[in-house]
Amino acid sequence: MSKGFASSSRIILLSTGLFVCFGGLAMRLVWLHVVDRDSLLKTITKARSQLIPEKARRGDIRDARGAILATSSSKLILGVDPHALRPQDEKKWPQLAALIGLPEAELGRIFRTKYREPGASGKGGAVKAGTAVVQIKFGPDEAAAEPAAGEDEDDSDLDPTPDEKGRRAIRWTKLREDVTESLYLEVQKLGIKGVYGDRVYHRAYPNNQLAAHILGYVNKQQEAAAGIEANLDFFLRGQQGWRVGERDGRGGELPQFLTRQVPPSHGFSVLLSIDLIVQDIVEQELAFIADKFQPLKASIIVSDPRTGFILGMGNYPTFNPNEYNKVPKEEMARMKNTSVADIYEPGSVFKIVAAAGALEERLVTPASTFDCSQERITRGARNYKLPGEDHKMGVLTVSEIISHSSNRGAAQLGLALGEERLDKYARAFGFGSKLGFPVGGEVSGILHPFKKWNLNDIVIIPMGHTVSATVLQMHQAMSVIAAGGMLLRPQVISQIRDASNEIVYRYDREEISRAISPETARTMAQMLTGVVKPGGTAVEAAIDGFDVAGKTGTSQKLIGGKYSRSHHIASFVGFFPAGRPQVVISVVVDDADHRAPGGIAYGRTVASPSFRRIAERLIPILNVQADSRPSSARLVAVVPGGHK
Amino acid sequence: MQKNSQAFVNQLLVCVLVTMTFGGSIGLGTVWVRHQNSLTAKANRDLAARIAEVERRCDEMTTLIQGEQRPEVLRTRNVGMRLGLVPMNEVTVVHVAENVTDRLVERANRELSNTDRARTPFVSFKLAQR
Repeated sequence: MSKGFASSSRIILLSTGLFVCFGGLAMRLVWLHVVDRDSLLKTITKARSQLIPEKARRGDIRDARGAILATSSSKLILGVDPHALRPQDEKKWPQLAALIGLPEAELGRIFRTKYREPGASGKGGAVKAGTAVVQIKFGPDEAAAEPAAGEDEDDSDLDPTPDEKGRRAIRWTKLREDVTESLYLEVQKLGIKGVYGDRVYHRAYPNNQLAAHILGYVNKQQEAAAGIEANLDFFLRGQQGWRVGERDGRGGELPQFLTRQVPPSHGFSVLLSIDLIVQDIVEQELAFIADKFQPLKASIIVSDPRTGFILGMGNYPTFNPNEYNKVPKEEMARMKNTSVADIYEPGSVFKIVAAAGALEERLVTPASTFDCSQERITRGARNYKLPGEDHKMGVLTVSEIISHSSNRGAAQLGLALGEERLDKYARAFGFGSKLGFPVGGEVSGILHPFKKWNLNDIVIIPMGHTVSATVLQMHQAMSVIAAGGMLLRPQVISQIRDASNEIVYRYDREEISRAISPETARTMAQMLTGVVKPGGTAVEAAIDGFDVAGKTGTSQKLIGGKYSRSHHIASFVGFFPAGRPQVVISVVVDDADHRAPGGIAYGRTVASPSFRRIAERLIPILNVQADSRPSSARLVAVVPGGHK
Repeated sequence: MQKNSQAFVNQLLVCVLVTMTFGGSIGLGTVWVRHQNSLTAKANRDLAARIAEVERRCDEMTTLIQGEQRPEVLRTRNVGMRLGLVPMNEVTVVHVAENVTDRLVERANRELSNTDRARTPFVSFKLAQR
């Protein structure tokens, strides 16, 4: 370096220049970071920072074989910002209209309506009230603050500030709901600026109405409204995640400025004990019953008596959970799970309680005889009027009382038991209290404490009058006999699994209480096989090669405070094979008289054939093995002094 | 003395230039690293978006498949395509009331005798009359 260049004046000049530059920079930095800090931070925070929620995916509901009964898939609500439309895109409008199935004129009208006139309906603000779905963000490009979708056009997103004419600008309006990903891809390919969709999780029930009363549904606000959806909502819904970051001037996310992130926890999956094939058989049979008898309602339950797990449960009428909002208001009752939420007088099926109680207390044996022809009977100081019979009966054994369904015989069994013990056994069989079924709004039925019974109740309760039960309670009562005397809790949830398919919770067989001894249950099962044998009340329920145990019921409906002779509830509840029960089936048909043979809907003519049809179809599907030891029910019935 | 001060100034200037170059390099490096971070973060976010998209497609497809597999649709297809498939209504298990062992032995012997009869040539004997 030469001496001339490094003269003192140049050094001073250079130093001053550097000092001024650095000093200026330093001053500016101090100004920005100290003096203007608060206001700048406020602006930046407002303009750039954003909280992006990450919606958790609702878990699936599957059947026992893993088939999906309810699932979540993403759908889009397609909408348009009329102010963002470009004139050069107008030639693509017909293509868009064809793609989304909207009339071209209607599309044009929506696109050209840029303002909402004063006084017209519509909600302002960035997020509308009455939003139909919860908005979710999937990717960085979609993370910008897109407006949420509305339920209909009136829920268009309007500018909160009206212009000088009092009009409010439409910022977003819906074109179509339920747009699939593939369709949205086609729409995007058109490249019409201002047309975009909001992604939402849509709850889908691929099997439509199958097991609708068990599954329930999720409404458009993503709130679980009924069934398993509501009962296990805590597990199914998952935990919403979120991330805090910044966005650029165009609203796009700046992932490098991500400060905090909580990933979403997707919902758990629920495995039900319902078998899709069994459920389909049940619902086909219900459809058949509905077509043939046009009843008021009907219910069918299929379960495994060894575990208490329900394999199929269906009701008529039913609904499609995908279209729950299309059920007319006057038909809302079809959304009720009548198997557990409605009660009826079980009729003769209830006779199993009196018979089992009397056997358990060693008051009678299957061969004990009763005179079922007498109209009145005296016990102690009281004289009771016995209920009438459908046809004349003589002296019957206990087995024949069951197989012939004698009302007077059942009444005498009730009298033998006494009020207190009859009440005890009825409760032990699950009547008068809830069984703890998780879905459907179970009711406890009506069984008054024996101290409040009327004088004649002791002779009519054994035949299933003045007591009311749900179809499920009656089903479980029969299951007591099939399960060796144990009352099991009816269950429909089998497992809960997390997002990685690991089992979180497993539901097992749950015993409520022992109702009768295994010996009594075996004897009862043998006696009940007589019902489907020649001379019994339900030969229509017999299956070749299998011992079927069951009981018919035909109860008169209480109409206007009187028992009607033209409105009945027909039922058949049974299980098979009798010696080693694997399946319990209940068929209850309400008010099928007008189409029933003879104008009266008997359990024999209406419900028993359905039982057989279902049972025969279940044999290969559930691999039901025939009992190797045929029941000796007929031998039990043929005794000296007996009717046969 | 003057010569020494000039040397010092020269060294100072060199040092300042070197420091500025070094500082500038560090600054540029930092900017480059930050840019790379941004690119990586964006790539990660894009990847996450793609994964989410694939998952969405999977969900959509699963729903579609399950919908097409529902019994009602299969029955319609069976009729529409004239496949002639029948539901499993046949009772595959036959109730055997008699002794199973005797039944099996009888069946086995019957099959055996049938087989022997098929294999063995017919033999006839003629007795000479004396």
